Amino acid sequence: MKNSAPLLLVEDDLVDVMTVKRALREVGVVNPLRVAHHGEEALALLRVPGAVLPGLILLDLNMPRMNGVEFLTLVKGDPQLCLIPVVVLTTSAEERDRLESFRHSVAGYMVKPVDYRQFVEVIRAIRLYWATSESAT
Amino acid sequence: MSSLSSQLPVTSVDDTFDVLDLTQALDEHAIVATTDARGRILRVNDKFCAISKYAREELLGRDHRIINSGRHPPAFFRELWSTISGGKVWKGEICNRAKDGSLYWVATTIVPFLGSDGVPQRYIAIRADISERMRAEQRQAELLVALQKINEELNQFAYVVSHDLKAPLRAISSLANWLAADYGDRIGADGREQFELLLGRVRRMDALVDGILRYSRIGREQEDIAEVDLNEIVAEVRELIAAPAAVLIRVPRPLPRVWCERTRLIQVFENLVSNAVKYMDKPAGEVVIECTEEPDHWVCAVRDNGPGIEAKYFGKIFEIFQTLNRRDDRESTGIGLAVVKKNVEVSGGQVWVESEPGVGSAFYFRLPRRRVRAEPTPSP
Repeated sequence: MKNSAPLLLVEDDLVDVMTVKRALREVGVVNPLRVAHHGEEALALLRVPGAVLPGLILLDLNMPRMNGVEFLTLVKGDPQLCLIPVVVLTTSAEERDRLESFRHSVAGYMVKPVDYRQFVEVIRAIRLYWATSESAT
Repeated sequence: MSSLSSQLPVTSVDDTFDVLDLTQALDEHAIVATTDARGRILRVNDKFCAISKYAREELLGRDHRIINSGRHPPAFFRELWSTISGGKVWKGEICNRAKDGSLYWVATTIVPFLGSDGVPQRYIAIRADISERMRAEQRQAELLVALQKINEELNQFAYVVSHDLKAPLRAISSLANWLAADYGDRIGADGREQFELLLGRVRRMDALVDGILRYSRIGREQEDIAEVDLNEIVAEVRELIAAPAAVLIRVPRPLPRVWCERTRLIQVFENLVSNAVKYMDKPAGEVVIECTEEPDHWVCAVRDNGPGIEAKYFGKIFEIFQTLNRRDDRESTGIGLAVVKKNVEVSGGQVWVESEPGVGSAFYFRLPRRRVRAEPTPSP
């Protein structure tokens, strides 16, 4: 994934958004970050005509109006949008959420640790992988 | 006619006497009705009148359909009629309607009696009232549905509660972390210590929420019983716990294969072994896992050479949220042994401890040996 490719964070909790931003900064990620607070808002961002599509989507599962799985169903059903890798970043360690997410072809499933320092390590791992891996677009 | 009389059974004095007695006895026990070939009622006994709530005059000469409840599909009665009109006995359970509209269930046997042409001339139906049993079965089915619904609601509730409790915990943890990092140099050593305590409390609460969720599930989730190799389970637990090199986990004799719910047993072993590792106070720590066979039970033991427990606490340690150390000395939710106890008891077993302070402890649990019978495949 190119350094210039934007990241899309779909997350409704304000402190969680701050956490991701701070952690990304700490691990040295320079990609521009866009934030949507729920699935509907995220879809609207993605469907803006002429918009640069993000190189990676970080997705929370529990959100108002349109939750993560509903969002996934729509994105993975779209011929353009389905090419964007989605990493689920969620509190839920529940097996059913994990299975549902992989059933919808997510590229990763990370459980948000309570401890911030551990969260930084999670973001570091995500960055390490996607800095190396090629993307579809 | 001496040859004829020698053919009669010795005990009978008068054949008709026997038959009348039989009819009388039968009428005392069963609901009996006789109909002609077309289903018109020829004779009913008192019990028939009682259960159908019709007077005898209202029934005689009427079509048997008078007691139809409408509860059975037409195919049911078509099958019944084709059986008995073909000269065969029919047995089954029928729901009938009494005169006042109330319903009753009867276990029924209908016997056709053929004329000399081989065609049924009349039918005798003998019935037993099974309404109570049918009502009980229906109540049971309804209760089961209600129970499943409540279970599902509880599961959802626990899942949502734990998620909603964890979100603010995470926020508190992150914010405290950042405050300490960004302003640490301005708040002094005391301030930094307070932040550490804050973070510690948050971690504790997170562990508690997890523990409560896990504990609340124990009675409600059921797994399939399968044959499990306990050696495999111990290997898995070993990996989960990742004990330090100073604590050796030993399995001196191969463990048996037992029929059990796999996840439950993993939880039991994981809690017992991780406790032994966590509280180890000797430089050369040892945890020994063994199983012995009793005629109807398996008894497993997890022994350690740790600090041991005083006898007066043997019961208390299994209570939920009970810890023996101050929580600031040793981070513990106090849920682990409660989880072990509940899991073992739900499986029909018992758990207990033997220990000597300073020497070590041995936790035992006994599980019934299950013999799993293959369920007969239901007929189509």
